Amino acid sequence: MRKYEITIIVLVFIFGFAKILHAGDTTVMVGISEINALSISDDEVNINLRLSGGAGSSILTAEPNETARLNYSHNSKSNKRIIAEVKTVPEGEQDITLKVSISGSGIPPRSIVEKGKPVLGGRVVYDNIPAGALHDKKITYFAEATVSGTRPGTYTFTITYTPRDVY
Amino acid sequence: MFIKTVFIILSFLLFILPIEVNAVSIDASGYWNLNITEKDLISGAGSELKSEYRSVKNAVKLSIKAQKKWTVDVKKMDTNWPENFTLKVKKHPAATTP
Repeated sequence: MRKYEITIIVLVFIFGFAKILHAGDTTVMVGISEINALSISDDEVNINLRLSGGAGSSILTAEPNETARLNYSHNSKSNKRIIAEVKTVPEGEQDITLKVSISGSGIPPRSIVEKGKPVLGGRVVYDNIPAGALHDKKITYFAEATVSGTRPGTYTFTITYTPRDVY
Repeated sequence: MFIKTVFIILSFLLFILPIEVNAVSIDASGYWNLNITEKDLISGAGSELKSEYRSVKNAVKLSIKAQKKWTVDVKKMDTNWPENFTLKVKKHPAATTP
């Protein structure tokens, strides 16, 4: 009798609860890709160097150009830095020094071209950027040259901005 | 002998009763896989990601068979789910209910 009772009770529980506990499963998967988007406004920036000190002086300078803007978004675990680099030298005789500075970076203008030659590996122009967005940051270019080292002409420098991890 | 017979009958009723009373079945089909990319930046580089994403309206279909009125409870079991990412579920207005 005892065994019989227990068997019946167990069966009642198994079948009874099997019907009570209804559930249907489905899945929602959310994946977030690496986001590392950088853009620079103003594809072309023109700077005209002039003899700042008048006749008898030797330095060619210009008002800093502030028309370009930097926008950047990233979602990396590690902070990022932005490196500005000029990779090719324009043709012609010149000794232009080109500096760049980005508002909000706290970094003073850095030379990316020194006396006509690109700085190898470029320079960090914005450092320790945590995940998030930099919006509409002003880029300022400074240029100067000497009368003796630069012939009349137009010299085009292509500047590449690259975000890299801060280690 | 009488007690044993009564016990067998009662046990049989108990065995049948839950099946009849709780004859409900639910089946969920479908899924939603969301992949957020740079294309989801509100206005490109320098902006944040969109704050809300929606699946298609019929991403998941529930099929429910029941003899009585029913309600559906939704429970989320997380696997590596960020705390600040909220998931909401909404019944399609055209879906039939009891």
